[in-house]
This record gives sequence, structure tokens and C-alpha cells, in this order.
Amino acid sequence: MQRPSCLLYTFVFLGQGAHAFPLLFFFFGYFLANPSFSIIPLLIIAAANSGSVTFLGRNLYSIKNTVRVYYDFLLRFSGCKLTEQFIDDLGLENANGKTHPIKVFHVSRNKDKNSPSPSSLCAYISDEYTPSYLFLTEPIEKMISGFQRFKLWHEIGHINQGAKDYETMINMLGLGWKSYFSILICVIINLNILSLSSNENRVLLGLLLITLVAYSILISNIKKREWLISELEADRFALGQILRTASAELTSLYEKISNKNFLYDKSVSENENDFRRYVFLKQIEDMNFDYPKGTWREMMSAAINSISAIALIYIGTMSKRLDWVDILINFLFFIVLPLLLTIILFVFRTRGILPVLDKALTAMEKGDFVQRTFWLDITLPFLKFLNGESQKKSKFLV
Amino acid sequence: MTTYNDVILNVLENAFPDEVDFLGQTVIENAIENVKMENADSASNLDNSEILATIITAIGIIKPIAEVFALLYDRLKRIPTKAEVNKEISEQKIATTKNEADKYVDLLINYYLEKNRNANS
Repeated sequence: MQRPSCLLYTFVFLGQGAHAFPLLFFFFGYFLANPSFSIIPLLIIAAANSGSVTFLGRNLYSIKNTVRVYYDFLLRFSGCKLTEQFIDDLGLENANGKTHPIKVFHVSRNKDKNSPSPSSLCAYISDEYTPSYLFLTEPIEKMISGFQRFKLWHEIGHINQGAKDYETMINMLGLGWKSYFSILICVIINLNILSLSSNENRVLLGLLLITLVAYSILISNIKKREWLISELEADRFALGQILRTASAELTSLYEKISNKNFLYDKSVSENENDFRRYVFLKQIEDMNFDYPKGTWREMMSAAINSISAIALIYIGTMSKRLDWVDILINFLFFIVLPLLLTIILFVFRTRGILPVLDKALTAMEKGDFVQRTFWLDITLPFLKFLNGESQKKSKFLV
Repeated sequence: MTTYNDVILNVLENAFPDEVDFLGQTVIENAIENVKMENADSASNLDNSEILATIITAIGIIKPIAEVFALLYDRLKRIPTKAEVNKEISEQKIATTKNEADKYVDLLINYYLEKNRNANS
């Protein structure tokens, strides 16, 4: 790969900056048009907003995954008996020394002949405060071949801190609405839109549309890359664990993956599958083999998003002059409101959703069926909306 | 799991060792016993649908051949020859190719030989 120029790096930096801290660019524009000390609290608001929205995103991410365990797995396979498995005996070694709570279950055949049993193992990844779940079709003591161990370690790799942190970060970045909502709210409360002339309104609308398109390109490319990086990191983790605990299995694993296309995900492109297989085999040959982390597509999409940075600065110059009341309103909307929502979601998660999930798991451990619950049912439409289900190929929930 | 299913599982393990290893024994047993199976949306994204389809197709062929084999074994009180099994397969109009049938019959013969050897030792 040819080395990108400094100019491209500058655009990439601007594009990523606008995505992570959109308000910072808006208020910088405001400062250019209205230089005063009021910029100091505004800069604090812009920086703190990213933190408070990240807390909000983290809670939503966790709730979404918890609800997904319930609807996507427990209700779907209600009637299958769960038996808790313990992975400590496998000699798990976390990539970064941290431990992450994982609950592992073996899923037996469904006692209701008309209801399905799972045909593949399944992982649900949560944040570091609530357990992640791993459901196996085989008891752990039977998963001794290279393939079975690879599948097991691969899923644990997703759950493991190293892979998980990256995914969480990407999910935070991937919350496109975070950036775009911040901008829309910022425009509504800081621009006296009604007082703008029709020409200024057209410019504003044009800039907002350009920003939306540039953001969409960036987010779409981050999402595409998210799958690949997450799989490659989980593969690397799995191979590392096999090398440590059963290195003889690596040779047969290499032969099987070389000869047959078992490392295949039909939901992504042939190129991505080929690249994953290539990295996988290279890593077996040399565990230190690394793959290029950045791609031109990502860099270009971040560079395109630098248009958003410039547009935001320009929109900022159109802002009305802000007094202390306006700054207080900004503070309430961008810091207090997300934090308040975070607290509400945290209580909902710990007092509402988690006990329901525990109850369902306990029922299945006893071999009983799981019943639907009102409180989870009413959250479904909201979570589906947040998950952008309409834009996804796969179903989010049953 | 019945003994009869053990026969089919053994044939599959020898005919498709990598596929059986990839899917795991429980999934194969479920496939043999026609258990309804599904993937959750969050299931491992390693695509097992085509591999499972291959195995299910093979089971559809192995089952009647194994039945014929067991029938002849009971009738003759010895392990039938490949020619005897093939004759019975064509008489019963079991849909399979010659190569496929030969491969599975060989594996069935091996299975029964091994079983008899273990019983005698």
C-alpha cells in the first residue's frame, strides 16, 4: 500500500474529529464569528457531550444485547434444557490480563418436537459490567478437536476484553445518530432559524444535507470494517489459545481450512472472506503475522467526512450570539439530558431487564419453558429502531 | 441415540470426517433423527448451512442403504458382500449412484467387521 500524504492524514483527522466531537467544530465556528470568553464553557460542553453520550451508548448497547439474548435465543429455543459449563478448566488466558464475566451453557435438544434446537454455537457480548453469554451445542468436554476448540475460542475471543473493547468502541463510533442528533439539536437551539434569510436557510439546509451524506459514507464504511476486524481479532485470539493449549491441532486445522472453505460467512463479500482466510492461514504459519489495520476505503471515507468538519465550522459562524442562558440550555441538552437518560436506562437494565433474563435462564436450566414478559415486549419497538433494523439484512429479533 | 443411528453416525464420520468435526456430534445426531434445527440471529457467523445440507443429503442416502444392509445381515447371518447389497439396492430402487453406494457399502462392511471383531475379542 502506498503511503498516504500528510494532506490526506489532515483530512482523515478532521473527518474523524468531526464524527467524535461534532459540537467542538460547531463552537469553533461560533468562536470565529463571536470571539469571547464564552467559548470556554462551550468547549467544555462539547468535550463532555462526547463522554455523556458514550455512557448513554454503552447502556443502550448493553440493554440491546441483553434483550437480544432473551428474544433471539431463550424464547426461540424455549424447551431446550440449559446446563451451565465452566471454561476455567480450559486454561483461558485473556489477551490483556483482564477477566470478563462469561456465562457458558450447553443447550440440549428441544423437548418440544415442533420447536427448534440450535444448529450452531451462539455468543452474546455485553459490556464489562454484565455477563456475556455463550451457548454451545456440544458439552465443553466433547469440544476437543481443533475445529471445535477453534469455534469455542473464537466466540470467547469475541467476548474477551481485547476483541470486545474494540467492538464496543466501534459501536460507539457507529452510533451515527449520536453525531447527527447532536448537530441537529445544536442547530435548533443555537441558531435562530426563523430570523435567517431564505438564502441563509438554503445554505444551512445544503450544509446539513452534505454533512448527513458524508457521515453516512463514513458510518457505512466503519460498519463494513467492524465485521472484518472483529472476526480477525477473534480468530487471532482463538489460534493463540490453541497454540498454547493444543498446538498439535494447528496443523490439521491448517489443512482443513486450506482444502475446504469452512471459514466462510455468506453475509459478507467474497473478497472479505478470502482476506479473512488468508490472514487465518498466515497466522498459523507465523503467529506474529499482522494484517494492515487501515484501508484506503476507510481513510477516504474519513477524508470525505472532513467536509462535515468544514460545514460544521461554517454553520457555527451562523449561530446567534449566545448569552449565559443559552449556554445553560446547551449544558442541559448536551450533558444533563444524556446523563439523565443514562441513569434511567441503567435502572431499567439492572432492575427491569436483568432479573427477567435471570428468571428465564433459571427456568431453562430446570428444563421449563420461557414465558414472554410485558416489560421486555414494550421495549422491542424502541430497541429495533435504535438498532436500525430496517437497514439491516438480518432480523434483529424474532 | 439408537444403535441403528450409531451405524449412520459411524458411516458419516468416515465419509465426511471434516464436516462431522466442524458441525459437532450433537448436530449430526439431530440431523440423523430429523430434529428441527435453526440458527439464532447471533449464531456463529461461520456458515454451517451448506455443510449441514451436504450431511442431510448424505443421511438421506445412507439411511436406506444401511437398512438394506441390516436386513441382509439378519437374513444371511453374516456380513453381506458389496454385490449382494448393490443388488438389493437396485431391486428396492433406492436413488443413488453406483460410486456413492459403493463408498457407503464399503464403510458399512468395515463398521460391521469392526463390530464383530470387538464382539469376539
